[in-house]
Amino acid sequence: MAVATGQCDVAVAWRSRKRGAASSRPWAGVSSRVGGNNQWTRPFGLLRPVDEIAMLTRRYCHDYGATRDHLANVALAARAHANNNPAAIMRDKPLTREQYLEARWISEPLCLFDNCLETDGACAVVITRSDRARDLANPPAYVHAWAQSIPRQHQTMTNFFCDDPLEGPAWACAAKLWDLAEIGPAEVDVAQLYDAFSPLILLSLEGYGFCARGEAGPFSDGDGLRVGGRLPTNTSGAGMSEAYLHGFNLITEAVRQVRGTSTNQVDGANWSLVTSGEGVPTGAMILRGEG
Amino acid sequence: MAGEPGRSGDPEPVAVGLLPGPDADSTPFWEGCAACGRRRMPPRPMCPHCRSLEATWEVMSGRGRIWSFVVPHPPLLAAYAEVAPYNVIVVELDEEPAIRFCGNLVDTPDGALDQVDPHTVEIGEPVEVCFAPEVDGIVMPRWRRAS
Repeated sequence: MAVATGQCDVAVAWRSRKRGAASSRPWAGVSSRVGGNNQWTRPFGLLRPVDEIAMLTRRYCHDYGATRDHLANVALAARAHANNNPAAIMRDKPLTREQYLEARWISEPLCLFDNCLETDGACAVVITRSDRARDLANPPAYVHAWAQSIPRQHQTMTNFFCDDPLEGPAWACAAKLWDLAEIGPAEVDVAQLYDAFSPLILLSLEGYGFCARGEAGPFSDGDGLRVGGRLPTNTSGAGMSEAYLHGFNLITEAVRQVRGTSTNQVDGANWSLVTSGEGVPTGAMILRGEG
Repeated sequence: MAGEPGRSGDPEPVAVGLLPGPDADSTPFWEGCAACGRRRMPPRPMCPHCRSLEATWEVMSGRGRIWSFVVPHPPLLAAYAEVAPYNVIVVELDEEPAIRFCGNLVDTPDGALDQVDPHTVEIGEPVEVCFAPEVDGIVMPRWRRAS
């Protein structure tokens, strides 16, 4: 935005996380009295983000017939991509469906492998005008369209207080994004969907229009989310298997895909979608390559 | 300690469970009406439908159905880890199913969080509100299976 409005010629956007320190964890400094939106959930033992998303997941599965196998499709696709990404934390740790199904619970119906990693790390992107980017060393990724949205009634992580809890921020963001873009979901070559938890991928696939509501489970079947599948998704391993940097590493992977430099490269990828979280006020961006 | 490197220990234990910290919007709910709800949930200053700042308190039937539930397992705050796995439910009210409350299914109003086997809970089960004994001036709404 600063570049587009002439406030500067070059901008650097970055994100770092250091969760190894106890003081930086969500429970550091917790008080026995909770205020704001949390007063309606935390006292009843709905304590963590995984609990809040598990609540939506249970209902999603009930309404649409989705199963743990569908959630496993998400986790296994991310892990397979990470196994082929030298920078991924989980590069050397394959994951099988059996291991997924036998993993310990964190918040039923979500198990350990439905959760993202915790990572100390940082990454950054350099943003400049397209006329300056053309003669730089690396091929540019053009910001084709982007949008930010918050749906009516929404409060962070508690979609279940909204009239329609299974139609969350992604739907509101998608409406604006596709309105601004010159393409639609069918033209997207590769997607990086924010994955703090595996069910967010299913909701995002529906919200951004890659399939109809309730159909993301079957959409993920087979190799649906892998390179060569219906929609190659989270091709670096993303938050669940590369690193969890609040989604910033999804942006860098989206850039690599349109540059042709991903270790899980989608042939001829020219339209690359990257999204923020379903479940919180969100945003999404479409990057375009030079094709 | 801020800035201390490395992984050091478990989260700070909280000796007792968490209680709501009422604010200007929520005080009537926790300390006044004592929890049958109204048609704006969570309580907030403005109606999300018509943008009115007016509000009245309505007595509801206290009956609803389980919309969804989860079964948390550790790591959890100490007071909750002790009773895990337990149930947390979201209840949709009979009068207006889009009004939903987070809570726990218990057999008795003062029952522990693990009083009901969480693996017996089902979406759609009819429930009715009951009220836990007051703690620090707060009365917590809880839910029992409707007879």
